[in-house]
Amino acid sequence: MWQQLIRPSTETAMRLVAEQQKPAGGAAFGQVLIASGAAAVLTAGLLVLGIGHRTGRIAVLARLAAWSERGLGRGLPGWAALPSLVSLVSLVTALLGMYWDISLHISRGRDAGPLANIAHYPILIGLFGIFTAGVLAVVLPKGERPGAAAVRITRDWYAPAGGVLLAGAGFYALLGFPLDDVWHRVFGQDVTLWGPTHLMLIGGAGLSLVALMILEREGRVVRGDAPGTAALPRLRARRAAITGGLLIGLSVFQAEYDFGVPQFRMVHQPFMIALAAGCALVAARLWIGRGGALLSVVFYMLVRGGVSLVVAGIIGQLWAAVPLYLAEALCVELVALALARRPLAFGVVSGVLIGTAGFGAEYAWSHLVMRLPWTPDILPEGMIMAVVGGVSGGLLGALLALGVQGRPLRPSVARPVFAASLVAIAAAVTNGLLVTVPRDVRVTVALTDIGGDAAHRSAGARVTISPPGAVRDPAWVTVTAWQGGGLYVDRLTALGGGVYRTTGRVPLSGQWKTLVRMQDGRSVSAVPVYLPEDPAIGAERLPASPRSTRPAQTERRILQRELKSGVPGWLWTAASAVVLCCTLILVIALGWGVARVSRRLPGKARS
Amino acid sequence: MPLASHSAVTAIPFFVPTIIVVAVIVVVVWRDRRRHPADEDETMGADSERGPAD
Repeated sequence: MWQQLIRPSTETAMRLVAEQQKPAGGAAFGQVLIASGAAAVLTAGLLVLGIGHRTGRIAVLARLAAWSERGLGRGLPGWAALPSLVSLVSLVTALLGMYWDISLHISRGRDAGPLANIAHYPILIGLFGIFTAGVLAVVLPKGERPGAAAVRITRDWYAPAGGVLLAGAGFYALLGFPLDDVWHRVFGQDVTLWGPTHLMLIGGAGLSLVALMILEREGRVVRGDAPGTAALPRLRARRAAITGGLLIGLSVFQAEYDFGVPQFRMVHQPFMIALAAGCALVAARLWIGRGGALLSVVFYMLVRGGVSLVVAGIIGQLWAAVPLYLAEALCVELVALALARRPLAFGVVSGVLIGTAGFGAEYAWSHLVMRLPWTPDILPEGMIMAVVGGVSGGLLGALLALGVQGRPLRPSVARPVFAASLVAIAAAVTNGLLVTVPRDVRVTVALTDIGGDAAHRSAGARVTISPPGAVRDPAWVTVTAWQGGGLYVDRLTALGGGVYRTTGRVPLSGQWKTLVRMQDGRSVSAVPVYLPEDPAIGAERLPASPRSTRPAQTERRILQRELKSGVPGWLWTAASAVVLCCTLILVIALGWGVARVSRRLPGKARS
Repeated sequence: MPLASHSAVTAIPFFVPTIIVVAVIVVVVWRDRRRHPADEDETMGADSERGPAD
């Protein structure tokens, strides 16, 4: 029955293609010209600076590198200090752009055109900055070999491995943009964070922090001197910024949950929080020493909190909640008192505490700040997922810290641990994605107090789910409305017997898309309440009738209305395989980098 | 074929330079290996041929 409402008829489909042909005229060509011109300028800039520096004709890069060795960069050579600084600024820029962009899509839907989304610019500039930082690290070292782990470019030119990987991570992330365009052409202009190409953007940025850790190691070893007491605070602050950045990068995957419109099961959230905490905070404590995990969370909170404040307060967009991570850091510091000298055990035990005590703390915190607080429905699966995430993350974090300290484990231990962690993560993600859609469940929506004119209609609603036992202690039952110029999430009040009512007034006009969402265990479903006409995809208007009864159906067709139907399944598999391939290359490359510095730059117990 | 209706156009100024810079570095590496093929230093031969990993 639902299919009838979004059937793309042949005539509408032809009109759609014709409409797309229109911008192929003068307007789009002019945009490509301007974009190409900008590309030429940026390319020329990078090449002139790089070649000029290597031939000794342009001094500005050398001067910038020398300047960066003061302040927070003290103790690192310029070819490590300057790229680190450029990276951190770029990452914060990209992070701001990402949360701004996600907020815009939630409140406005898909982009009206290629230049219509201003938030894309800070993202692109930030990702390009990461790439540029990597190029700086590659190009800067002159007259000295940047450490034994350096990669040879020519006889007289060696590049730090961390710099190569930093450029690679930036390149990989930027690759996500054109691939994203191809993806949307094939599959439709859907709005979801976890599209594979979006994950490239997020993942590339987040994993660049691993490259920064490698680069820091290479820089510290070349400098040789052990940090004096005066330099120690700077060293710790710098490292806390990097591991705090890693925590941020790993937590961006949860952004839909932060805004309150996750298009997936609730149990993913505790899993992802624990995974990020395990990896970043265990690595931080081992790499920085006592207090390292706490310092990282302070940095995380300043940056993530700052971005949320700017996006909501200054730009006037939606508010993104922020997981606390404080309890997890305390757990890690506590476990370190006993196990800091046994990194793998440290990772495992920290992970268990993160998945239990940390889970409990985040559970409580979610009731304070999240639009969709956690409910007993996610127990015990949510805690099990959190323990799996915490332990996997903790093991990966331990491997990472050991690697950049030059105290690697034997490959016969490290490789299985690395592989097993990735497998566990994949298994947990898959578990979360296994979803059922209930059959023979019907939802009646009765509107109450309908008010407002045709352009601003809103109403309360009484929602009846039948049979009443179909939804028992749900993860959520909400009326959610988005893409109409804002976001409205109403956690319904349960009146018993499968009857729920709204607590506010639900928007039912204009570009709003309003639906009842239900999640109970593995059962995830929704019914539409109001949908606007959408000629571009051949979809018809679904008016809000005072009383309607509809079968519960899969959410995706409603939340991702622009998804094209009839795309052959093999195409989806092939496209995902391409993205998976690129991602594996990046992850393996980073593993290669950590292994390389750990072998070629062996270290003392603490460096 | 209709031109970009999504973000590819905005990405061009940032994505194209990375490709060109990577290509330039790869060419530099390749020319060095051709000029000094006998050089066998500590770095692993195959790895150093690679440009930035992606």
